[in-house]
This record gives sequence, structure tokens and C-alpha cells, in this order.
Amino acid sequence: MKGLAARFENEKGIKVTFDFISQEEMGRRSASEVVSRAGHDVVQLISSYNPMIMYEPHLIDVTDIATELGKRNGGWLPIARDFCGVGSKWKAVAYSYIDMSSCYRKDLFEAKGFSKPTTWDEMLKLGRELKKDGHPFGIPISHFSDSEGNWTLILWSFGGSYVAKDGRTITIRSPETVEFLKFAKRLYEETMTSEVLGWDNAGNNRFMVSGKGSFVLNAPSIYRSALKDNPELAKNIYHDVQPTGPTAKRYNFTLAYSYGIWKWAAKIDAAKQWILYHVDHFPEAFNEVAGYDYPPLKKQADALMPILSKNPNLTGLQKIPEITQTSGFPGPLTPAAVEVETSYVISDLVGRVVAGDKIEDSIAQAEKQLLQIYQKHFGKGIKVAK
Amino acid sequence: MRYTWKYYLPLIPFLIFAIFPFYWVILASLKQNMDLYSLKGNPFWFNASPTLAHFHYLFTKTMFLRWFGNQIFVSIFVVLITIITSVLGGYSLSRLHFPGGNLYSIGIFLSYLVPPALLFIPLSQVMAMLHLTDSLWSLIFIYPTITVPFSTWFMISYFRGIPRALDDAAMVDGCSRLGLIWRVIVPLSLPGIISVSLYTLVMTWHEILYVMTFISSSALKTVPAAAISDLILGDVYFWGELMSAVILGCLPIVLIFAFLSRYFVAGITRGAIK
Repeated sequence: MKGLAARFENEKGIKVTFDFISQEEMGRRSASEVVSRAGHDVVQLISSYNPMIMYEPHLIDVTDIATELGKRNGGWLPIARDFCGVGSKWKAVAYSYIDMSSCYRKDLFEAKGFSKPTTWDEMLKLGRELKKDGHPFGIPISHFSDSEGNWTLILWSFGGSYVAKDGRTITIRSPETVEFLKFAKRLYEETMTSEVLGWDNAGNNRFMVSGKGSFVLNAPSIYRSALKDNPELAKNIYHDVQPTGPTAKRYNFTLAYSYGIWKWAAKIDAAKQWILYHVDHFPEAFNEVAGYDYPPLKKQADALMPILSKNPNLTGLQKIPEITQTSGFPGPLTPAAVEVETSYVISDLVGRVVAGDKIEDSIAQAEKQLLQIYQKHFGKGIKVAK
Repeated sequence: MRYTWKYYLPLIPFLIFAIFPFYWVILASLKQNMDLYSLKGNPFWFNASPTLAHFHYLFTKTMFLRWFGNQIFVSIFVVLITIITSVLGGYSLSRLHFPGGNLYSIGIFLSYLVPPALLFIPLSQVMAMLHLTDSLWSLIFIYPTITVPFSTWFMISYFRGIPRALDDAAMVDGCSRLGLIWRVIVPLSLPGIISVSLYTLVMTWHEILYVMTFISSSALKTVPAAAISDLILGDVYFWGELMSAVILGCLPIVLIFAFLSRYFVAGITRGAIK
């Protein structure tokens, strides 16, 4: 980033100052800048932390640069529009989205006759055996984005969802959710240890890099950390797409990273030029970020695939763009869907069930929460599917 | 009285409780990354040779010294502002019986109870109006709002323990009010002032919310905030470097307490009674 900014300064004569702020702090920082109408010109918007849709009234229309980038990069993948579009306008420009892929120990899987994660049903059987060998699975059940994303994608693969395609009908009460929760309880009890109840977003990283874990759902930050800290172990850490559920479908839950420009920005033209430059040059970072960041521009996405295909540990991730969905799936990404994600409704639902609550009671509680959230955003016209 | 080892027995649980976190932090700061993550071997000791690599990273790949300097700069100003304000405020509220004085002192105490997390949004507006965002002066401006109420309240109690006859004697001898404070009250209140200074220093030293809110540039951050923003990248934690920053960051406080703790204890206990 620093190198790119230096080149931009040389080529365009515009000085770029950027600050690193941890993603957990982005919500507080963005709120502070909105209230004071001061601070940075360009803001990185991260779904789950400071999503565009929550800050949209304070962002300028960047349809012009989004269109320009789309034209010279073969167009945008639909996911970019999901995260950055408001009506016919673009209020942000996406440059990356991430995966919560299967991260597994190939050596341990192969010792049990598996080459990679397949179906959740088979994973349950495999996980049971690996736990006995001292190598449990780990899917966090906590108030962190990994937990919410992990369990939501499993819910989807069971055919469940919390809202319908119309984005206005609550659908959490369904036979699919019941099956998902029965499975979640078994997966927790038979393949994991209670440490997952206390994990933050780094929990699954530690778990795998320590050599203890055999399977988690996470972006390849684990693989990259292992390359640095434990290269021998890294040889056996593989990433691939998520297992399929009873629907024979698999999903990736994603967080997206985009740039917006505040309405009170002092240098809007310079900010636009920097965003264009940064997104145009994003492929230069592919060797470092391959498997972690996926570009939502078609030509860039095509350029990433050969890099992924060259690395056997990451090659399975080439299918991630095909299976990626956002909060609110199968409906649109709405402020209500974002609030469900940031309120950890699905994590809490799973948490209550693994703690021993009745499935029916837990679903009823989640339904009540969902109804409150959706009514807050859309009024009384919210329906509940029976 | 001869102290045998039995007298020290009750201290053991306390010592374990108090010292273990420091031991763990020091151990982690000196372990190689592989050793840090490994679950094999004894986690309470080194399973590979110790390393200074994390400290080296901190000094060569980050702006640690700058962060440290920022922290000292802010702390010195905040301590000075707090001492001056709380001594003057505490003296006037304990000695000068002006109308509404009691209400005013209760108000000071109540303002101490407002959690900073509620204030950062309105304070953002204030800082923007004063053009102090992304400046260390924003912290120097805001931190006393946290430290002055308690310190003033503390000094009120402390001054009430000093006999009024000393004030009268000094004034009969021709001392002005400010001269009285400087020549009589301050020397007698030194343990209390040291307590207030230490309290302020600790509060300022570990504060993180306002740094995160008002400071953007890495070069202007203090150690705790910079450690979080620069040593945690997404879900990747630089554990060794974080632990090294913790050790170096708390070293000044540990040293200051080691030398001034008896004054602190004396001040706290004196200020606690009237």
C-alpha cells in the first residue's frame, strides 16, 4: 500500500496519507467522523464493521468511477453491486471480498481416507474420529464475525435462511432450520471442544497454527500465518470450498471491503483518482493476498485464478466466487440483514441450542429478534413464514 | 519479632495471582513464534531457545519509540493540568464557603460517573470545532475531563484533614491566599498530590478509547492504541510483538510505583478520612 501510494504521488502529484485502523475500531471511528463531519476524505467500508449501507446518507455518489472501473475491467460481479449499490447509484467502490473457506489438515484427513471436505454429513463422521485422535474441529460460537458467517453459511447449505427472497419475510422457523440446529449440536458435541465458545476472530487461527485443529472455516490468513511461523505445518494446511449440506449446495459467506468518499471530504477529485488508481492496481497484490481477497471486477477475478491454481494449498478456492453470498441471502443485503449479522442472531441461536435449550424455543427467540430488527428498518409490513 | 517462612505462606496465592500475568507476558515476548503456538512441551517455560526477535521487530519495523514518546508527552501535560486544577479546585471547595459550593463538589463527583464511552460522540464534535482531531492536543484537552473530577474530589477530602489554624497563622503572618497554598498547603499535601499524579498517570497511560477515536496517524498514537492497530492485522495477531509492547509500555509505571508507592499509600489513606 505504501509503495502504491508513493507511485501514485509521483505519477499524479497528489499526496496520499493513509492510516491503519483495526477493523474492530472502524465502526466507532466512522461514527465519530460522521458526527464531527471531519477526518478522512476516503473511508474503507467493511461489511460487518462499518457497512456502506449504514453510512450511505453520508457518502457521495461514486457511480462515475464505479462505471469507469467496470468498463475497463469487463464489468462488476453482482456481489459488488450488493455491497455498494443504493438504487441506481454506487455509494462505494468494492475492491475485495473474502472467503470463509474450509481450512483443513490434509495429512490428518488423508490418514482417515478423505482427500478434502465433502459433505457436512461426512464431516461429522470424520470430525468424530479426529477429535478422538486429539485433532478436533473448531467453529466459533461467539460474538465475532467469523462465528456469524460460519454458522450462517452452514444454515444456507441446509436449505435454511432467516429471510426470504423478498427481504421482508422472516423464514427462520422451518424444518430446514430444525435440521440445521440438530446438526449444529451434534457437530459441536462430537467434533469440537468447548474452547470454541470463547473464541474471537483469531481463535481459529491459533487453533490451526498450533497444530491442534483439523478443520475450521476461515480465510487463508491461517495458511499465511503458518507459512511464516510454522512452515512445516503450512505444507499440510489446505483451503477448499465449504462442504455441501443436505441440499447438495455449498455457500461462502463473505465480508466485502470497499471505499467510499465522505460528503464533507476536502478533496473529492483527488479521492476519486486515488480510488481509481488503487482498484486498478489491486492485481499487483494478488501474490500476497491470493485466496484471502477476491476482486469483484471480472477481469481481475479472471487474473486471480491462475495464481490460485498454481498453489496446491489454495487451488480449490477458485470456485469461491460462484458460491459466495451476503447477509440476507436469499434476499438482498439490507440494513436489517446487516443488523442481524452484527447482532449475532444466528450465533446466539446455535449457542442456545448447544447449551441445551429446546430447539423450538431457541427458534422462537431468534424469530422474535429477527422480527424486531426487520420491523425497526421496514415498519410493520414484515411477514413471518409459518 | 522474628519472621519465619510461615508468615509468608498467606502471601503465596496473592503473589501467584499478581505476578503470573507478568510472567506470562514476559515469557511470550521472548518465545519464538513456533514455540508460542505449539501445544507440545511445557507452556510455562521455553521449549525452544528464547529470542529477542519480537523486541527487534518492535524497534525496527514499527514506530514504537515514537508511540512511547507520544505517551510520555501527553501524560506529562495531563498530570500537570490535573494537579494544578485539582489543587486549586480542591482547596477552594474545602476552604472557601461560597454559595453552591457543596452542590458544585457533588456535581464534580457526578461528572466522574459518566462513562467515557458515552462521551466520545459529542466530544468528536467538540474536537472538530477546535480543529484538534488527529492531534495529541485533543488527548491533552480531553483526558483531564476524566482525571480532574476524581482528583478534585480526592483533594477536597485531603485538604479537609489539614487544620485550618495553619491557614489562619500563615495569613496572619502576611501570606496571600496563593502564597498560603504554595508555601503551606502544597508541602503538607505532597502525599496526596503524588497520589493524584500517579492516579492521573495510570489513567492516561492505559486510556485507549479516545486515542482510537481522535487519532488517525500511526505516528501520533500512544503505545496501547498503536499496539492494537499496528500489531493486529485482521485476524492475525503478532502475539510476541504485542507482549513486548506490553512489557515496555508498562515499565515506566512499574518503576514509578516502585519508588513512589509508599507516598501513594500514605496519600490514599490520608485522603480517605476526614
